[in-house]
Parts: sequence; C-alpha cells; structure tokens
Amino acid sequence: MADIKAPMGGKVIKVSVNVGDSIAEDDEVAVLEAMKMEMPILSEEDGTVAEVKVSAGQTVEAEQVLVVLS
Amino acid sequence: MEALSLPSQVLRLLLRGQGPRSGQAMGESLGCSRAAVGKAVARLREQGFVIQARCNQGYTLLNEPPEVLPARVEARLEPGSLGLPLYHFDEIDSTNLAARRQAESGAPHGACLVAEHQSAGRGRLDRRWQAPKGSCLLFSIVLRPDLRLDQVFGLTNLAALAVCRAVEAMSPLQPLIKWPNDVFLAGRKLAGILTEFTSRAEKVEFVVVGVGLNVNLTPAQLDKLPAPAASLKAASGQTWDRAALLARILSEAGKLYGLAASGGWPELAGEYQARSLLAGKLVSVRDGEAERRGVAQGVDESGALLLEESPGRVSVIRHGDVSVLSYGDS
Repeated sequence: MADIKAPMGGKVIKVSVNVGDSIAEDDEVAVLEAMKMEMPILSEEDGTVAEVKVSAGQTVEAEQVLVVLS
Repeated sequence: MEALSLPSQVLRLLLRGQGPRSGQAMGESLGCSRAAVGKAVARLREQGFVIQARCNQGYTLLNEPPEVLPARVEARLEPGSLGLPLYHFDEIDSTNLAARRQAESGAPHGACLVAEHQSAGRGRLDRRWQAPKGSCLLFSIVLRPDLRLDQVFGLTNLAALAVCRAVEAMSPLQPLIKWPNDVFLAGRKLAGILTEFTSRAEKVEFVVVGVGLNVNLTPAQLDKLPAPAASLKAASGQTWDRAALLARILSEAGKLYGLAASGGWPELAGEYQARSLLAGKLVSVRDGEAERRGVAQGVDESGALLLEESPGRVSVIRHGDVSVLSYGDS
C-alpha cells in the first residue's frame, strides 16, 4: 500500500483515476489548484488504485491522502 | 548570462547612438574582425533593421523592425537578466505550451519564448485568450528553481513584481498586483500570469511562468474585449516599444530572482504588499458556493493571501476568486 498525498493545501479540481485502475509511475492521479496554478499530482510508483479519498471541488490540506495504491 | 550573438552585440553598440560607429572600432571592442561586424550588420538588415553605412565613417542605426526580435531584446538586457536564450515566434499555439515543450527537451533556466500572436492562447482552466497580432507582449519563461512545491507560487508574485517595476521605470504609470495572478492599472486588468510546473517526487523539475500584457491595444480594441481591461497605450497615450519593455521586465525578473534565491523572500513580500491592490481593503473570496470576507493583508512566504476575517483572526487563502467590496459592511 502506498499513499499519494497532497504536497500542499489547495483545491482538488480533477480526480484522474478510479478505484481498480492500473497506473504507472508518473501517471497523473489528480490535479490540485492553489493560487490559480494548476498542479498535476503524479504517482511515484506503479500500482492499482485501491481507494480514492477525495473528490473534485474538495479543499485539501498539505499531506492529506488523495489516493491509496495497492 | 549566456553570451549574446554577434548581431545582438553589434546592435547594442549601435543603439548607443552618438554618431556612426566604424566596423573597425566595433570589432575591436567586441574582439572580432571588421568583416565579422559586416556580416552581423548584414544579418540585422535581413531581419528588417535599417542600418546606414558611410565610407570612412561607419554604421548608423536608422530604424528597427517593430517585432519583439531576439536581437532587439538581447541588445537591451542588463547583466544578470533572465531571458536567454530567447526564442521569437511570429505565431504559436501558446507560449506556455511551447515553453513546456522546450523545457521537456532540456531548455535551460531562464529561457524565454515570445510570440507576436497566439493561436491557442490560454488563461487558467484553458480559458481562451486572444489579442490582435503584435499588440501585446506574450511571453513565457522557463525556470529551474531549487524550490519545494509549496514555494513555487512565489514565482507568480515575482513575475507580477517584475512587470510592475518595468512599467514604473519606463513611465509614470503605477500598476498594482491583484492577488494571485493579475496586474491591474487604474482598476482594470493590464496583465495576467499563468504559472505551470512539473514536479517529480515533490521536487520541482521546471516551472513555466507565462505573461500576457496588454501593451498597444487602443481604447477601441479594449472595448471589444469581454471584460474591462487596461493597456499601456490607452493609459499613457503613447505607443510602447515591446522589445524594450520585455528587456526591462527580464532584467527586473533577474534581479528579483537573484534576491529570492539568496533568501530575500521577506523583502519581496514587503514589496509585494506595497504594490498590492488588495492590501488593507475589505474583500470577498468566493470559492464555489462558499464566500469569506475580511480585510486583505499581505502574502505569506509561500505567496498565499492573508485574510483577516475578524480582528486578530487571520486565515491563509490559497484559492478562490477575490473581489474588492466597494462598500464595506464588516
């Protein structure tokens, strides 16, 4: 299991994966927005999406878990 | 700063004016032959520069093309500027997209792309952005900063400060920054900044800072835009030289970046506050359905807006649309 966390506080503007998706390193799992900047969140490893913990429109804090990989 | 091309160096000498300059003298000061100077002059003429040559006197620059050509910008850059290498496009999809492509194929820190026209100009969230060809200054800078992700936002502020400084240095106009990514003049939008970046393992790989600045749009052209906007020409009554303006912005950006890189963020935050459209004003921050109101303070070291919602209670704002409430009701 690996958690993909928000590197900083912001708003989730897009969740790019669904539970059960196979993803590879550097695949985009979500896009955050803060201060009018879009920040793609990339996976650091290959895996399968076990859980999506946020949805579009939600505000997140730094270090909050966005997606769990198995 | 990378070495400038010989045509740019020759142009730099010709721009100093004070009568004709001989090929011999220019060659001596640039460390090249008189023949090499002659070739550089020929290259400049091919690009549309009008350079008069007189026997036994030398070269005089009579006219420059209006485009934001690399030689025109490079010849005006101060040491320590950002903006090298500089790439000019007559038309491109968007300078930010092109800068991303260049960065992904290895463009160095400081590289700058400028276009006369964007066929797919983008604002945030892919909002389209259009301007008549040659009327605006449209450029993107590639940065490779040693920053944490949460510090990248400071670069948007840095670009906004560079635009304000440059306009102030070249005119009596005083633009102000509307957090987080716009520059305003007399209550209307003058410039927008779109910062994008790519990161790996919480480290920033590169950042692209794109700027769209309304320079020579006429009042009639401004009226056709969907939202109220300002231009330097409409505000000053004069046509601006976009190449000189870009060179000044890149020079200021270089100084500001140097300050930031040596730990000067608090100083930058102070200047930001002094140039802030919002500081001290009662503002509304809308984020979807939610709205917060308070008195805008400055920015913190990450570039986030500090909002005093009630006396002594300050929140850190990272997203939402900010508007100034004309009539205070707090």
